[in-house]
Amino acid sequence: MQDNRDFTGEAFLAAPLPTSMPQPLRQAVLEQTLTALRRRSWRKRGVWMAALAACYLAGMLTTWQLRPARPPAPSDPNTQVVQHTEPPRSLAPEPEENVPALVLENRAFDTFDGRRAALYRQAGDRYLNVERDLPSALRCYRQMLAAGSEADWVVRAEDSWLLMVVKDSFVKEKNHARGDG
Amino acid sequence: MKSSDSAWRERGLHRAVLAGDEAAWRAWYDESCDGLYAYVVWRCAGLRDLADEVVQETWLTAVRRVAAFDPGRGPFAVWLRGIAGNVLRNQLRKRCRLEPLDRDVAAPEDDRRGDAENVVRALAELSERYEAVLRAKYFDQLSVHAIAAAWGETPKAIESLLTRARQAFRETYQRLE
Repeated sequence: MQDNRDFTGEAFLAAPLPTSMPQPLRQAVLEQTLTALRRRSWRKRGVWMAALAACYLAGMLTTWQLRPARPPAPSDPNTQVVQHTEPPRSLAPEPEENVPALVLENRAFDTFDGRRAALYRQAGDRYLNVERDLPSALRCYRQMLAAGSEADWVVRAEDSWLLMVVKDSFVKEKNHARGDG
Repeated sequence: MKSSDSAWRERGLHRAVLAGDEAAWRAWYDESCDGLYAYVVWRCAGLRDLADEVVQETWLTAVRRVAAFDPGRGPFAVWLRGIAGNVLRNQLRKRCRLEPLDRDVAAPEDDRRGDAENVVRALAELSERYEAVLRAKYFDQLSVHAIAAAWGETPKAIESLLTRARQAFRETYQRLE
């Protein structure tokens, strides 16, 4: 098939071409592309750094969220000295000399007014000091604290050694219960 | 170098460039620079100002989009040519009138300048297949048989394709005159 090759357009297609790119243009384009390559590398590094920082922060946040709840600062009954204008109910009145501990305990059990804690304390002291019945003394002391107020929970110098221990244990139980609530 | 060796080499260069290796990029640039420039000058019918802009924009696009290059789909030089074609079309849309500068051959008269502009636009309007066969014939300067062998077609089919491509080019060129 014969083609018409005389039109000018095809002459351009067949025109001689440069063998190499002009050096100034070659160098300028190379520098521009290297700059773009470096920016690309920095952007990639930046993305990685941001991802690592995000993971780190997520880990910190998770750790902070899962930290154990701080219990409320307990008032240390062993070191406090509380001054009251009126004595706590558990200290008054004076115990009867010859009443058995069991009788005192039964009286306390049947009492529902403010003397309940005091009677339990008397019973506990009698069990401990006279009848040497530690389990019963322990029982009465716990009943005393349950029936009494927070003022009764404070350790005092006149407390028996067993009562001091029970008070300390009782307060800790109360604080623990509040923390878990 | 066998085509499989070339593909392996390009994969290696590609990985290195993606990792930010400047030496790998320089190697790729130096290998492809002159070939791309010659192709763009051919596509721009010798209009050097347009060719310089297109080459610059092509390389910047290539480095920004280098992650998208797939060595398994073809050589880097072919990928660059594809970018150059798109860049040229975008440039033609922006330009109302092309201003030619110096060429290796004698500076064109006004008529030749206008002819050059029409050639650029006519080539840009051709389909990819027509542009490819004209490129193989005029730019790569392959014979019909060599094109047929490279494309896995018969010489007769390539002749027919060349005829149709020239016809399409001529019609578009004459329409733009």
